Amino acid sequence: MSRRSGAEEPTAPHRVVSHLDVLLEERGMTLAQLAQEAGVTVANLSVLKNNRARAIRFSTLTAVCDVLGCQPGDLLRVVPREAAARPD
Amino acid sequence: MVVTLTTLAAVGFLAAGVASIAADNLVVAVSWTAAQVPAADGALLVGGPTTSTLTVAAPTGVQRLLVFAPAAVLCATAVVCGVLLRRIVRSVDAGDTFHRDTPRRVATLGVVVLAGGLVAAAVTTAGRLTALSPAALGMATPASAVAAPNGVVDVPLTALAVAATLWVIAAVLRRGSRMHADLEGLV
Repeated sequence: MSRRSGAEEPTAPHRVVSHLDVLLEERGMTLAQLAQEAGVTVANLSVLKNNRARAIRFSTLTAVCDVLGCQPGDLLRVVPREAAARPD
Repeated sequence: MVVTLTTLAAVGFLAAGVASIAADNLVVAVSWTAAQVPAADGALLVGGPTTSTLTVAAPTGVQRLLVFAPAAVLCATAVVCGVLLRRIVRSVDAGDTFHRDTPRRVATLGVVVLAGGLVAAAVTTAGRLTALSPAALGMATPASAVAAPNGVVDVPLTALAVAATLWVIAAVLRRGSRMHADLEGLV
């Protein structure tokens, strides 16, 4: 069984990308409007939009999807391993 | 507040030590073992561990230094503890209660408290052996009534208990830091 060494352990990498910017653009909404309607702070939504989030609460996901009228799969996508390894 | 208290403790220890440097006489609490001795009337006087106050008139420089040394060690311990506590308080004041350095600082605090207590106890024993022995004090050893001072260092139980408590707190904070790290980036 692996054991975490402590707070110094580097963050585990992930390949989840957010399409919040695309969904907002399609619906003609701003981040502030979404934050207002979903009851989530602009700071947290900004973290999600800029792909700096490492985890998302189900409550946040539910609130955002309710306002945007989408499913979690529309908001988040896992980049295939090969695509992530490929240099831009 | 915490820093003020440790500063006061350091000043108190230092003042007590400086008093032993400047005083005309040294007043030292000594523990000794009284032996069982027969009295003139044939009754047996019961001995055992005893604590007395010993006044050393016209003490030598070495005697003053060895009495001063435990206070100096405790003063240094209080200063180091104050520095570590100030760093912990600063990170808490900055809103980062579970700063990743805090558990290490608390654990170090425990080590410093225990080490300071042990060194102070060892220095006290060394002082008792070298400077406060009957021979060093120039008095005839009443061997039949008083056992010679031994080199046993009294384990500072209070320092040990404080250190153990601090290590437990450090372990809890270490767990808290891990949980805090897990929450970074949570939206």
